[in-house]
Amino acid sequence: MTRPGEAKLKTLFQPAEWAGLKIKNRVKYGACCVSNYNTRDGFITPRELARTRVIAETGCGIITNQGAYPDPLGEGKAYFRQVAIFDDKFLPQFEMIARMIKDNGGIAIQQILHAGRYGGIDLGYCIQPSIVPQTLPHFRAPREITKDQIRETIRQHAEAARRSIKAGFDGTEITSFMGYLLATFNSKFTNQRSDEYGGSLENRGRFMRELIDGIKQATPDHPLVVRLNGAELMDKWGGNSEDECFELMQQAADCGVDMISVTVGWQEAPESSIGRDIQPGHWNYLAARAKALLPDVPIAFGQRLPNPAMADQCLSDGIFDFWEVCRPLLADPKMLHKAAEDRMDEVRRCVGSLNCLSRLFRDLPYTCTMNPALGHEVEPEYSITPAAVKKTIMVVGAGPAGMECALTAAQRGHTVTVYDKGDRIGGALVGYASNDMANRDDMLSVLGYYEAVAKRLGVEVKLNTAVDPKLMRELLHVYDVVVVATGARLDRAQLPPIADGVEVLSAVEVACGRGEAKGRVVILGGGKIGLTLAESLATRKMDVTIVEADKRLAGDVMPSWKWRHTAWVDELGIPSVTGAKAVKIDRDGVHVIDGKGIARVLPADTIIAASPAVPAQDLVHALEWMVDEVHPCGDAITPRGLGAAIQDGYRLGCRI
Amino acid sequence: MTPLPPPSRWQRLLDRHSTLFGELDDGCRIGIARRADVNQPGAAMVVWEAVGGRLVAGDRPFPGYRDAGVDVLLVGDDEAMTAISGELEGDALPVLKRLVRQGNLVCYVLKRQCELLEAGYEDVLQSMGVAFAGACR
Repeated sequence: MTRPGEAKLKTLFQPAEWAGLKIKNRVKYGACCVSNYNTRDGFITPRELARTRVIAETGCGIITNQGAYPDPLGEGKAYFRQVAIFDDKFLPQFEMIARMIKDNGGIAIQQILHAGRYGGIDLGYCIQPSIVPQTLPHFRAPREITKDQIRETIRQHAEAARRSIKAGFDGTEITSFMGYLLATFNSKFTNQRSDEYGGSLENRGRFMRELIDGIKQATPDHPLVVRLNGAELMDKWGGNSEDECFELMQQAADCGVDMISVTVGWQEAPESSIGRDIQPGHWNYLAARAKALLPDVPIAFGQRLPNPAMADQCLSDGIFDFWEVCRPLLADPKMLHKAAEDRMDEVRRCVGSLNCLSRLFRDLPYTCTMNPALGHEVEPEYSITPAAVKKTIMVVGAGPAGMECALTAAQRGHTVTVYDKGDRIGGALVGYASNDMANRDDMLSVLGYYEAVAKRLGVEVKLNTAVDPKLMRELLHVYDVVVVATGARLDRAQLPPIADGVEVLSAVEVACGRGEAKGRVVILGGGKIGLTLAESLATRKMDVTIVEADKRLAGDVMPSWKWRHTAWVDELGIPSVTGAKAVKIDRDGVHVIDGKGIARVLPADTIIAASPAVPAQDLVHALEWMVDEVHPCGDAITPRGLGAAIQDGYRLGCRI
Repeated sequence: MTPLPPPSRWQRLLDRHSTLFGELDDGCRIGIARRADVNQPGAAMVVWEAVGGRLVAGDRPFPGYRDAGVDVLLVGDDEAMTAISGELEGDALPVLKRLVRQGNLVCYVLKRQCELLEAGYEDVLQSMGVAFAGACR
């Protein structure tokens, strides 16, 4: 029976045939990230298997398992806990993964990932075509790959492909995404060889052609996908132009690859490619160009294209043949099922915070800001299971922590009511989302998700209702549990002395529209809240100065997003005084001692404090003797941010 | 084509920002070269070397990336060299940062992250807009 969403997104859910395989729809799960969940010597762990089971159940027609490195030395190994496929000893777990995918009606593809320039994580060096030093200090010093090593690397890839098929996969994939080994041969930036593997585009593509040929010979009856950059975003550094990228695609097609997955950017590229600051659909033109160039080669694409409806339209328009999607399915593994049921308003969207990549670059397992269970699927503590005792729960605060807890608890059979003194769901996130420079729609979608799911689950939300001991006395014995998710508040006691008659506004109040900035503005605190507000005010042509006690801005911002804020600050011409101590606030403005020990007065008509913050946990103590259980949650425990709020709320909701 | 500015002009910039560079250990070296030159024999390179708590600008041949003998190497295209040359007597550090962000100036790191941190590079690289833990955009 056709479900309502399937009728709407006809092309997306249309079955297809590819390389002789029948595929249930036009969605390919992309191996976008290595999970870092596995053993240091490359074995797949139960944690990985549990995550993969969830991926297998996403409903995608093709599922690509994350990249495995093909060489025993580990020159291809990019991440500390990446999986390996250089020996049959790894096969049992690969067999389980292939079976999981097939049991769920998917076509199973195994990616073989030799990280090249980004590899050798355990070795202290990496290999690439020429010695071109790193631009990111995280990576290892390069050694030039010899011709013998090239031949051996191709043989290892072919063996890995054969092993993948032996494990039960239907096909394999190699990748030049993001600057891995294949990309470094293709690109002028890293390939400065003078032999037959370097120089002309024909020569630079030789490694790719030999690699494709080697794998095709090893697995002649099974399809091979190649991920190739439509744009490296490295052309300013002497890398390939888009034209050259497409000539390389033509070479791959001429070698008989069965699908080209079009990607964008290198990890070190000086431009954004997948962050929230790139508008959805921005890169579609690259897929369209690939399809026009290679009409007979199936094209997969999905970079910064997170929405099934947009993907369906692209498929209908013939821009690409398969929607390749990964991060949106990390954020909500049920996205496709919800799309099929026409429940897109209940999808947790990937907000492009790049928490996943930020974690990988700190050598941590990846997690997701929006999906608190990602990476914890193996742990029963993260499962939503029926509650043994059904309770009546009051959640105070309709921010992400409170809503997450409420929705999770409601799914377990508890009766939940959410109270918030504000007039809408979202708490401080409303202010952050409303001022976000990157993509307000992404952040606002979080609020929409909570509203839609609360409605479906029957969670009552009482807005414009402040909870205090007086109200609680009226509600004595109504609730078994109170969850205090009241967030954080400005710690006014830690502000410098303020002269009589001078007002200091809280950043959250201004961001949420409950306070107005006028004239010259000084913001105390150059963390994410202060920066977001400063950027927003500066775009409205207001004169804003940031004062930060730390020697650098953006101290509490995710590693992958710091550069974005500091770049905006520069682009908007926002002056900042760092390493500064605010010593006094009066009618003249903010008196500071700057990082060089010099006293300065920053004239201000509006003074806004974004920090320091303290947990707003007064209710925890006030209600302690009035209710059976009282739990603080989210920033009411200690101020952090969206990801931690969602984690806290979810875990508490699973536990009550 | 704008030539690489001579060491004497760089020295004035380094002296103006002596506080920023003061944290570098003696022997730290930052090289600057033109992209058009780096693959040519006999290419020139300006080197800032930390000596006794200050950076001293000098020049030496660029022997290739492998033997460059510097910790950090800035390689600029012609646009970068023109912009830097025009600003060396002014406030050139923000210009360097802008050029790194725009991609006109590539900042290569020839030492490992832990070695750079140990040698006092964190502030210097941050001031040039180089993401220390991986940009992953």
